[in-house]
Amino acid sequence: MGDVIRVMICDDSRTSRKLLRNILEEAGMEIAGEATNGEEAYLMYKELRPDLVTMDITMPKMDGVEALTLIRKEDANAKVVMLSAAGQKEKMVDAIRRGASDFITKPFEADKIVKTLKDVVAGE
Amino acid sequence: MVEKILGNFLVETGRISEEQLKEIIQKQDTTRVKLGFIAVAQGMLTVDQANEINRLQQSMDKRFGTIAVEKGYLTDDQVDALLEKQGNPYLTFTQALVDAGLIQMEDMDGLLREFREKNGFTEEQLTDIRSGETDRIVPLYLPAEAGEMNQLIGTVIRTLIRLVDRNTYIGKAYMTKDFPQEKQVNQSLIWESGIVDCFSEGNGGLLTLCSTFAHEDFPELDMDALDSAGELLNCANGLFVSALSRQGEFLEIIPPSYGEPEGEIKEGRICCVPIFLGEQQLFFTAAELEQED
Repeated sequence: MGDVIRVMICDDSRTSRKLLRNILEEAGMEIAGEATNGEEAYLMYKELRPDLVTMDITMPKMDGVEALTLIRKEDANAKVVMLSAAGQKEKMVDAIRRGASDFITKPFEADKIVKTLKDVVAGE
Repeated sequence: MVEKILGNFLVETGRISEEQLKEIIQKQDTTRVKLGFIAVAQGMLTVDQANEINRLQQSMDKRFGTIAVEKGYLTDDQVDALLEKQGNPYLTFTQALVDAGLIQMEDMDGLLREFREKNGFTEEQLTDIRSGETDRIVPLYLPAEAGEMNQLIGTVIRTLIRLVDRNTYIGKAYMTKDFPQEKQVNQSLIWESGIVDCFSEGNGGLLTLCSTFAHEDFPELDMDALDSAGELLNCANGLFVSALSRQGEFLEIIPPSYGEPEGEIKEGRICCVPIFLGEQQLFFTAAELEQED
């Protein structure tokens, strides 16, 4: 795995990807790739095999929950943290049941997301 | 918000200048003390507890005190005591005006009466203004016909105050026949029926919102800029649907759109809210959707 955490960001919003990239790079993480929808995320995951994926839920073409399911089927050890504005309990439970490592609601705080990602990678 | 609402009235009636209002508000911004800070200083919360609540507040549309009570860290009485120490924004604003010699204390009653009459407020509504609380002030500017859209509108305004500009304020909202078609980003929230809402440009306010939220200087309202507004709208709508889900109502959020909204809009059920960021204006529009067959 190495010392630097490699993260793949998946979000249809350019702004959201940029804000997250800035936070994670500031925290010393490497952005392995950026996907703009679930289908892209699944294909990109197979190619890049990042340490961790941040996954928005509400996206065109393929949503984040479907992408999560495909990625986890491809790699049972894949670590995917859901990052979504839709913070309904039902969505959180569904995502965790499908194998998400954690669920963070937008708008997120920089410290919280960095800590969460580090904890997930460390297996906590 | 109350500072801008009352302050603009004082500027419009020639009691103070724009510059004087700016200075007073700027001074208030630098001296406003956060509730968590006061609680820690008083030994009522630990630093860790205050930080935990601040983190939760980022993703919940709730006040610091509400979360502290829900977590069992503070009682309602303790929160009231802290709020008193923090200061009612209306009181601190009027105090600042008096201290600066811009108005006289004995003139306040007359000024408020004039303000109330100019805006058509009742005495009870004036009390809501004097509370300084955004939750009590926003409904005063919404038409009665806005109905169930009130809660969504309140959530969006609070989100703008938290994430864009703490001095965001609104003008008198109105019902309209038209949903914005250009220079806008919209998002649909679907359940048996649904709501579609949008930010649209006024005189530069939307571009300012886009730049501030994205921490990026957009020269014009292009797709990159609108994406920023779309993401902010997404966050605000997310807070709204999360709150409704705790009340047992489940809504589906559709990705933001920059063209025709998803769903058929109910005739006569469109509410437009003018929003001000400084001198610049944008609009927030919410519309009810027809029930799906």
